[in-house]
Amino acid sequence: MSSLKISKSGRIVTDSQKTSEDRLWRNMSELEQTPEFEEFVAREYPEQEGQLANPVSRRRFVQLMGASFALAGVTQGCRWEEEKILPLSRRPDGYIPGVAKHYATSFELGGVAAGLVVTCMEGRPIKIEGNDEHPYTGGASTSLAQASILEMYDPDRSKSIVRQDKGKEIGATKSDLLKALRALKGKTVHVLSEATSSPTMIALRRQLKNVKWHEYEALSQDNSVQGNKMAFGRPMRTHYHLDKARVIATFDAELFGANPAALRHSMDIAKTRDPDSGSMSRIYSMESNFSTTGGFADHRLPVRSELIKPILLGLEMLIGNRQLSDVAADVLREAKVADFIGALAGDLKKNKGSGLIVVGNEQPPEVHAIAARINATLGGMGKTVTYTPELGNNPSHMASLVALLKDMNTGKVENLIILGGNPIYDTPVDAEFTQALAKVGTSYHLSLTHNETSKLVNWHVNRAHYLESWGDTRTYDGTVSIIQPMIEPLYDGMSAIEMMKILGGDQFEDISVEAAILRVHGFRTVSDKGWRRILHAGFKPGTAFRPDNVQVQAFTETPLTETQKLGSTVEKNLELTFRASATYDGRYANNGWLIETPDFITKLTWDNAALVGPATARNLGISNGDVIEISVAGNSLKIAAHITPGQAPGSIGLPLGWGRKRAGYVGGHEDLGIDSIGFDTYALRTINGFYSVSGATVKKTGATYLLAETQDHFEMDDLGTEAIQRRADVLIKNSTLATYKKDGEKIITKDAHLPIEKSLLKPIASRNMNASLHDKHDYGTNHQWGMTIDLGKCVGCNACMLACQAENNVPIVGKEEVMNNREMHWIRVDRYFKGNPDNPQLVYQPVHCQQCENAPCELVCPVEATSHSEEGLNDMTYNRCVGTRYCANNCPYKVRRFNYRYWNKDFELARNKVRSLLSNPDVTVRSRGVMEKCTWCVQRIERTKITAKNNRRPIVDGEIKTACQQACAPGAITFGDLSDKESEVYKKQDLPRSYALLASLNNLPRNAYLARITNPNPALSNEKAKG
Amino acid sequence: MTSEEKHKQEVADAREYFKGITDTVCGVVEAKEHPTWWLIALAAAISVLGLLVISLYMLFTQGVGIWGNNNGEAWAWPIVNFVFWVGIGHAGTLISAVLFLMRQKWRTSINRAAEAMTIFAVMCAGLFPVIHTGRPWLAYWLMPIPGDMGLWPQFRSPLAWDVFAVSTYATVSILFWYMGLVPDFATLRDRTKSKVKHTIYGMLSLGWRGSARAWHRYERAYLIMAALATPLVFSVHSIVSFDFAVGQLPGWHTTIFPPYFVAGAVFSGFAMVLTLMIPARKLFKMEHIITDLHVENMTKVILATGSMVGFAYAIEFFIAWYSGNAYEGFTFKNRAFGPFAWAYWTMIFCNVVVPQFFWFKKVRTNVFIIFGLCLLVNVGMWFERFVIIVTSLSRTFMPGSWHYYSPTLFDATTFLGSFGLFFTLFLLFLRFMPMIAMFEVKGASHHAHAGVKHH
Repeated sequence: MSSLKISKSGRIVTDSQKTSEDRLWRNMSELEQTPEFEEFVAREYPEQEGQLANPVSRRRFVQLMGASFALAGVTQGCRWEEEKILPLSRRPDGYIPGVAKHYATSFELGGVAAGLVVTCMEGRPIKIEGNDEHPYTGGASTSLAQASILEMYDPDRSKSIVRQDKGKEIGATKSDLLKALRALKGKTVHVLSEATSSPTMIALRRQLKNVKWHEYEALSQDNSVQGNKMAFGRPMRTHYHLDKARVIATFDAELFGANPAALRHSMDIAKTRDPDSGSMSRIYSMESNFSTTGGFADHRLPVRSELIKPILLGLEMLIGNRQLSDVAADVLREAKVADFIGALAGDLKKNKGSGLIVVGNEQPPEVHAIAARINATLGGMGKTVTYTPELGNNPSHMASLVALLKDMNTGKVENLIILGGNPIYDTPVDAEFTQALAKVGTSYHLSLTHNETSKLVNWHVNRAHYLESWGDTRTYDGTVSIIQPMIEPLYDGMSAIEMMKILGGDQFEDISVEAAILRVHGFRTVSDKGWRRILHAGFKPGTAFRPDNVQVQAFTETPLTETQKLGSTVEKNLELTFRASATYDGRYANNGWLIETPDFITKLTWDNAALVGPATARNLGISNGDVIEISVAGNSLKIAAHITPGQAPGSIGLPLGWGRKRAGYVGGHEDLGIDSIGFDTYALRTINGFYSVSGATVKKTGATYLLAETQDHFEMDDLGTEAIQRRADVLIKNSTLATYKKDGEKIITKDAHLPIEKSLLKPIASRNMNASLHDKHDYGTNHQWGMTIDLGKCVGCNACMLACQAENNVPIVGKEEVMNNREMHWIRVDRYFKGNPDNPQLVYQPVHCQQCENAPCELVCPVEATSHSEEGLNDMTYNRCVGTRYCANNCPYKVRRFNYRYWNKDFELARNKVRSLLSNPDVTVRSRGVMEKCTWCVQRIERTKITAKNNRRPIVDGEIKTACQQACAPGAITFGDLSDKESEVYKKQDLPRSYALLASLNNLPRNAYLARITNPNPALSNEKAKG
Repeated sequence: MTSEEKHKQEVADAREYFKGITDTVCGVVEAKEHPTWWLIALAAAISVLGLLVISLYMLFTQGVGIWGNNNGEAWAWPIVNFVFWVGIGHAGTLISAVLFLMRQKWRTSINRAAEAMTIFAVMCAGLFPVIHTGRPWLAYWLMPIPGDMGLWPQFRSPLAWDVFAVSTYATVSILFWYMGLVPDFATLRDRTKSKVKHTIYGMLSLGWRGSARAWHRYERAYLIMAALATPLVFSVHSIVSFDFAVGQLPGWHTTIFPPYFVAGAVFSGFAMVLTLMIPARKLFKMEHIITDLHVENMTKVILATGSMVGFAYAIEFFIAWYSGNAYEGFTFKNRAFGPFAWAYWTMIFCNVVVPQFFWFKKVRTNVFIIFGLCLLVNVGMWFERFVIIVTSLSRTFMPGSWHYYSPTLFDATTFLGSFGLFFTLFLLFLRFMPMIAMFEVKGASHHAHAGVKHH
């Protein structure tokens, strides 16, 4: 978006919308801005819309919902909008309307890529999926990658170049910018870039001799790299091979969420979590914040982040490296810690060569070095963990930033180009980037949105999204992956390479970006077969980094601090930890999909909050939703508190990336008068307390704040809590490996207090339905779709939810409606905390439509809008639905979602038209007043059936993948034909640990869950009893 | 006095009495001036009706999202209101038909008003299921309308049964009511001096001449209608209860529902009749027609049905425990001790404790106390449906989907507005139609036998 102002008449106008006289115009109606013309523009040229269409009633989606109570005549128009179409007089080559095309590309985040395949319909990308062929990231994808497509269609993207001088806007065109950039040739230019691993950018940098390159990311792997430098003498990248490990101990580490190798980790861990094949890894997790890794682990112990170091030293002592006297920390004398690391050490010693210590990047370098030393002792080097050299000998992001700041503050920076990022927002508060920026001569900022930083620079340059541009990057293992555009840049934006290329460098100046990339990768023409192959595959094979043999050197260890010597129960010393969140580091703060996806642990949407453990909360007298003031190192922040079971005592988790002031209509924008969402925790983040900081104080402000949680909406009473504790095990079956080996199927039926849940667990073919009063469905010889969800493999990444949202045009509803329990997600993840709230067990279960054979929803619909298909699905006929909602009442799984409002109404605003281009044309966009639910991606089923039929071949097992299944990295979801006894899904439903949810209701769900089997250490088996 | 004179005297007394009835009842209709209280009441009722109109405008333009319904509580206040109004609508037909068949003559003074109340209550009830659908403009799809698509309602759904049950009940109630009005319209026709009114009443009275033959046929027909209407009293609320009993939800899936709902409906219906008639008979000075005895009889019905309802509550709890079904057990514990316990105990107090006061003659004969207690019963019966619907839905099988329910402003205005509709219609009825079945009251009095020779 170009910069926005409030006009005298109170309307918000963009800079390009000043008066008609000073603009170029193309015809009279454009000059006059008639409604017809504006409508035409909005439909035909979405890229022009921001400049020409009149941005009436710019309200945030949520506000729109809230304001609907106003009586102002908001009328529901007729149901079918009249549209005029202009047929193509000649069909472009290879263009078949309605037929999807798929292209490989890559998604780069923090300098690390993930291989993607993007589905394009009629020239517009509509869905992102993982690249099956990619050797490192595979066919799955992360929730961030899934949601990045929404970022491209975000109506709040910046649409033009904005030039500012001394706070005043000066009209500027792209050619003005190019002129200004060319003038920088030969001059000293400082660049502050996002992390990137683009080989082309690296080549370009070598060309640009006068450029001083700095990189900054708010979240990075620096600590690990620096730790390895301590341990091995040079910067190295750590690679964990979870599939080769039998015993995995994580220390404040998130393996499956915000981790550059999350997809690999998820795939690898799944291989070791198969109780039916007999062998399983064992995972121990010690952490401050409840991570999905902690939830997945067999044993978890919450401890303050700063205690990881003494605990690791204690562990090292136990496996024989050290003298007891070396580690004088109280924490090691605590029974729960001693038992935990005692059992862990025992396990690690038993499994020499297949043990693995993983330390989270939030831990300081020294802890990583200690972990490397332990891994070396355990014999895991080269097996469970490998190290590859980091490219170049770059300083850490923090060192790089500090160096740049020094130059800026001393006035040495004449020209500063900020490539992406948002340093005003996400640099440490004591870096005082704003003041430093004021001392810079001329500043440029390339950015997708006109954000906090864009406001303070001289040149804001609208950036091309990665789906609109050429580029290259590397996955975490080093495999070079190609970024290719799916669509012409919507707003004529520039990519980072494009911008830097203008600065010169003899080789690249006059060639296109694609040509530059070609050249870097050693090809001459775009038609080169090798290049075509790479483009088709999306990556360059054989380019992964090669692991080096490394030797651990001696390094100087800093002595334990006073607070590190204290035990874990001491709460007088409060520690703060900063972690990635749904918005990553804040860059996705305007991404409604991500913001409305409930956090896996807290189930919070539309906000972050200070995560406080129950014991700490009691100690401080805080209850859920209290606004607290946290002060540390001279900074303070008022933030809502969320009581999070399992959060370490004395440690407060602060998710980063919220409270943006210039994010957009969703995330808040100061110029539009839209409040920020969440709380800006960067206000407490300092250079020295980057990931965690000790010695914080908390005081209650007396105010309270409404948090939108999708579960536990209200403080649970004892009765409810007790029922949850009882039901959690019944709904989400789990057992241990030893019990499962011994008892098999009995683990499903063990709970006698509740109706027996295993009556019809056999795959559909062998189900005994003689006892049923219902008529059997006559399924004939059709396919019989079935699904299994392996609860033991779900790592809690939420990718399924995002994939479903993108595939099925699932709307977002806004914070107020989430609080009203009207969220629309077709698949959700129920999570319960079991046992002691301070150290609970996490049980969770993705739930979508179970596709019952005796579906209770079908029976009660008075108009037969939901009916049974011959293939065993519960079909929804949207246009037959009158919205009695009886089906939702009668669904015991509560998976039906009702359109209480016209959720997509905002798409009709001129400014949002571009957003509707993202809709999947294969899936109806539901109107107000109809019921919807998961269909098991029936459109995918039908598409595959058509393809197979056209090719005169049967459907191959595994050929159809539902969106959730496709995105699931650990492969927890299996879909297939139950009438085929050789199918994967049939075999899985036949496993002894397969069960139907609420089977006693005799609904005969076609979905089966596979009970979660954990592999706890018998030595710690009393841990649960102790709580 | 000779027997001849006695006869004459009796006949004269009867004439006097009959004239008194006719004058009193017709007097209300024929009065030129509107009573002040009536004007005030009507203005108030129409204002409240205005709330309904505004709420419906909002509803049709914004969608059901203006209410507090959500993913878990797909049904909430609108359906509570529906069941509440259907329940209210039970007294009329019960009084007219069932008590008629049981030869309970005291019914005659209240049956007309009770029938009118029934019809208006059913109108209010019928409103809710229609407007609570997501796309009310398509609600007619619930009717079996032949179309070239060959699409019919799904006859396995209790909601489809509801359509038939409620519409049949409404039709029969209106016919029954209108039939009863015919002789009284004829009376009004004969008394009026206005040409216009004469024509209108003439049409409404369907050419009634009051011949013996007409009376004979009329009474046969009335008996048949009563016999037809009687099963409906039981069927409507049984079928409404199937909406819940057929569902799988703990707290809904209960076989006791049909009798329990019928008893509750009669209970609430009688309470509503008393709530309306106690002030009406005072304001229209009809205490001699609707006597204290009639009021007392009605309180006895309330006591009886209230006790049945209380018994049903107890049985539900017992079965929830006895069945051993943990989900069912939890639902009931949750009703009594969960977050909605306040609603449950309100219901228990109003529906179980309150009617027990009617054991006492002193209470049964004090109209002020009766009025107060009946209001409480109405409140209690609304809460009964709230407890069944909202409390059960708020905590079903999957705790992950549990949610506390809060109504919105529009929930309240829609419900309140339905009272506006009800009272507007009822006030218009009181003013413009004979609110007491004159001929029936006459027939039920001992004067009806005046002049008959006793041997």
